[in-house]
Amino acid sequence: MVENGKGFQVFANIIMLALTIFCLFPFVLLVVSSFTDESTLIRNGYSLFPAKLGLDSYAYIFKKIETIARAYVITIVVTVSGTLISMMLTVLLSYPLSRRDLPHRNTFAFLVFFTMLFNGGLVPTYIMWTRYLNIDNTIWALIVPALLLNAFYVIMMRTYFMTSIPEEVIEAGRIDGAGELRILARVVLPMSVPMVATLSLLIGLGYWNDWRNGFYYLTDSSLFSIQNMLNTMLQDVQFLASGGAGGNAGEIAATMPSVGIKMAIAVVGAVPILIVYPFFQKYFVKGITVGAVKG
Amino acid sequence: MNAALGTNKRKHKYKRFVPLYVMMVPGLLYLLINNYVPMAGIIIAFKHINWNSGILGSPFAGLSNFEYLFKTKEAWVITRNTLGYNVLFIVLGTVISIGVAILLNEIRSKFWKKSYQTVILLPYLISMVIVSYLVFAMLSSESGFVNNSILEPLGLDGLTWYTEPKYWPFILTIVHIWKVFGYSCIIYYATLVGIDRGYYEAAVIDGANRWQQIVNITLPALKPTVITLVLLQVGTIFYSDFGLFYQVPMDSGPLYDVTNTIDTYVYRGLIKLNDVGMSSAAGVYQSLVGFTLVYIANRLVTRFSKENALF
Amino acid sequence: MKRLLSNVLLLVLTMSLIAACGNSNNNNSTNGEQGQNATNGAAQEGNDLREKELVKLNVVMMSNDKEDKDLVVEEVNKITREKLNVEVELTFISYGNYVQQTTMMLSSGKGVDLLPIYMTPLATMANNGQIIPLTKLIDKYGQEMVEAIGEEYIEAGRIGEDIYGITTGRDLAKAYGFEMRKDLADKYNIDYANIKTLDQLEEALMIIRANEPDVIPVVPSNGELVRNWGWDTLGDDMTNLGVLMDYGKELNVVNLYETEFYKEFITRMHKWYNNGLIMKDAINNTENVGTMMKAGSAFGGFMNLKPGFDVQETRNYGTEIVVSEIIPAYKTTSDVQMATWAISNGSKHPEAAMKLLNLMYSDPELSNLLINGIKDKHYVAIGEASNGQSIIDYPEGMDATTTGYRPSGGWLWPNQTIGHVWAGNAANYWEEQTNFNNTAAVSAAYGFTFDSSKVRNQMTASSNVVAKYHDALMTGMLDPEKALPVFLKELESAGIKDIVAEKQAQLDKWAAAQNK
Repeated sequence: MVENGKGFQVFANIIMLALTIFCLFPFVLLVVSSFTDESTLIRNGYSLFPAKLGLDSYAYIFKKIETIARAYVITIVVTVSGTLISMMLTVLLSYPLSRRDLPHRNTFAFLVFFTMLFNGGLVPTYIMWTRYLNIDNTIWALIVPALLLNAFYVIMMRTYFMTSIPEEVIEAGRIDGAGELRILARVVLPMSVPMVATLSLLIGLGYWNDWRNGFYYLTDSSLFSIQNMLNTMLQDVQFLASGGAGGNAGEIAATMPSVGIKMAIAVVGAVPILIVYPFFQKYFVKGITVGAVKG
Repeated sequence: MNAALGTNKRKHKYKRFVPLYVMMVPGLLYLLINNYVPMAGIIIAFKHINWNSGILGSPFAGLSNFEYLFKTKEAWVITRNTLGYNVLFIVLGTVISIGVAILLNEIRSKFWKKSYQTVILLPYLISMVIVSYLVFAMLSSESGFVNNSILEPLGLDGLTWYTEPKYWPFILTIVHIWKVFGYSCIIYYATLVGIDRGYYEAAVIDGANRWQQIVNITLPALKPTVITLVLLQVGTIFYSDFGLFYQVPMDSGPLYDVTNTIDTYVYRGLIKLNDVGMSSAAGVYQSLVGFTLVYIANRLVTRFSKENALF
Repeated sequence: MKRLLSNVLLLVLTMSLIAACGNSNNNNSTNGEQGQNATNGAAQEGNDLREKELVKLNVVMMSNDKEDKDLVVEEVNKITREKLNVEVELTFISYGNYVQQTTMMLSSGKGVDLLPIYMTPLATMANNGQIIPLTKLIDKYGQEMVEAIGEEYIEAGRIGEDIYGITTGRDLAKAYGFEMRKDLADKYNIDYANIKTLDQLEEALMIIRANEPDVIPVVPSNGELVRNWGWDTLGDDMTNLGVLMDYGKELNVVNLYETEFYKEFITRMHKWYNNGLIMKDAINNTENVGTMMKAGSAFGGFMNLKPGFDVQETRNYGTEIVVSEIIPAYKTTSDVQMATWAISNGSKHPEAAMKLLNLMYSDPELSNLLINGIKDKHYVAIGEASNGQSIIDYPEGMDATTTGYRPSGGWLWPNQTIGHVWAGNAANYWEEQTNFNNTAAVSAAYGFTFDSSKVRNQMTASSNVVAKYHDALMTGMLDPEKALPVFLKELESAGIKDIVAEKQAQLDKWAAAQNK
């Protein structure tokens, strides 16, 4: 980077360190509570230094390792394939919209944007996907509805193309006799690595964190992702907490995983991202160099 | 003769763009299926739905499904809360995310840069219900961290946080910012690393200090992204994060004055009624207001910088 | 402006096309179903109950998923194929997802033929057309079912002209009281069997408070302290908008929150709260009272009771639990309608569905399979029950958490009372329960179902106001002197009077029709 005062570095690091602690503290609490003895957790509440540690929660996870491993595989498959397809659709749609010379481009942009504001509601969408396209209780239910193309990302991508790719570059490509697809693939995309990386990350996070699709379209729990597993447990607690089962609550509660287990699954669900993310970050940097060479 | 030439020319003009239009087909097709076809369901908001006769066969309800949103004293409270929090979140969220993105961009140590970036994304990965447990761990009257480890050592009385509305606007804002700033700063950060280094080098030669570089180079470069993001958030300004306003305060009644939003109000009102017409009316109302506001905002943007308008 | 206009025009055009297309599809499908019903009906002449062609029925049930579900379904199908030429496909939906998922399934008409309606009022399901009227089907194919459950209880599933849901065989009346840990009760000589009033209970709780500093005397069971403390909610459990007091002795609808009874109750609870008898974070406790009793941090909590409840709770938590009954058993429409089986509007084979339902209610073999699993795999017989079935227990080395098919929620299956009795319960457990149902006091409005469609706006507004104050008042967190007047004022402006008046009018009309 450009010359940078030492004082400023210290200042920036102190602020970021404070923010880091602010973000880390609750997570540490979460991890510790997943390692806390069950009845200690209920009696004394959450604490960074629990009176008694316990491995019950992870023992449970280990006992259910088959289910959890399957959920992991599903989460990964869905996240990877969903992100790839979604990125392809996003780029293919946003690039033409970024071309200032494309006739009616604003009409199309409006059509895309409009989907962010109005929706037909859950029931019509559900009817569309299940009754007409029979997507329920298949792996596609986790990939296709709602998440495959988000107008927000299309607009972000378009904004990036419009502001960061000079028109002359595209013009030059055309003079060389390249077709539109070729220009997109060979000229525009390499210059857009930071944005493509960013959006892939956002889309990927969307898939990773998503429990709604599973909640709406899956009743077969063998297709549940990690988040669906966790969400189902949490919903069950909500159900009991709202007095749903009345005098039969005890019977249901007895079969439910404890607080510590929920915490453990939340940890299990978050950790892979923490491992993968730092590797991903290098693409942000790579983007600059490529952009700098071409630009 | 002239007319024929005209159409010919137009045909020619379009022909050049055929590949571009073809590229858009898969995406548009998806939007058609996922968004536009179900949009016909908006009609549900104007019907007394009876699934026996289907959506179209059900009798019309006029605007009666919308009445409950306005015929209540709470209408003012829920509108105020929804709008107020959203405006606050947009302003604070944008400022903080940009600030953090700039700081991140300035930090030289690669290791720390990566570490910060990873850790601030953590909250985004935790489900809102789990967040509500963690907030409870902080604020519980019996075993809460704040009461036991902060207030009591200071000689202060513990509070029953979940019955004290005055603190909750702050608590909710902190929780919201905590959860999303790491995520939303990713987008700004990506824009920042895309800025041509040459600009900064030139500025340094001209003798500009760090602050001047930020004001004159960084911020203008972020402007299109900021405008886009803010416009998009304006579009959902009548919606609220259900998890934040329902789960985090743990549906505590005494807090409703500051936690009840349109979404939580509709949810509580319709649990028992199970009326799909009324819930869909709420959605239409929220979308309509959002759309109107975005439309106006977009017109304003068009006036000042046409380049950055959304449509 | 012109551009916007053309955009909007384009949009309207697309949407109207879509709407039109949706319409024709819809018509086709309903016509198709009706056509099929008619032919089915014609084919069903004579006494043979078997379907002409193999029919597949989707049965949905609220439960967390079980590993051995497919094995059980295989056994079930052996029975249903032989008797009805029907195959069952069983879908388990977890508790917290149940309402949302079944609502969507019923709206789209896909994936479900038979299901229990639970948590969503039967009346709204019927009025929304999500489930079909059953009266004719019962007359034709449901006689054994009527016999098994009792005419009286079948009638309670009536919404307007027709019966829409069949209640399950369970405790259909409710008593209310307090459950507590036996070890502590014994330690301080608390005579739990003879605690009949809140005064007596208060005394006992004060002893616990004074001697056991680490134990919370009263933990609200699942977010609310008590529900229906001796009033008939006329369909509005949890919100109590317009109720009958005194176990529904008279057909006089009142606003519960205005009554002296309510005020007295919440004033007492506020006193309890201030004296440290009630958990401090009462309204946002997500931990179950039983779990807390097991962990040793709670003494007890209010509960609705039924015969054998103490045994059931003891088995659930693995710590001995006893109960004090304070509000004796009574019976209302809501209690009976709380869990009912119904046929989806989208079912293509309503007649076959009714036949299957009839079998589920009356065939012990089928019922046992669905509720308890496979003999010698999921349970073993260890004795004779008085209904001719067995007393059963888990096989050696298996318990509630390790079984592949645990019988949680037997009460939500059609009819557990024709089947086995779990160990720990009396051999005549089911008879006791039937006896309990039949001898409970009966609300004067028993059989009446309220139609809320005329007061929808008042209902939504009032529900919000009740949510704001009721739980906090019931758990004693708010001072009634300050909060109650505000509550009542807000409730009034939300339109509770209209709801009460409407309920009274419908109730009077219903009563007049009954006396005819």
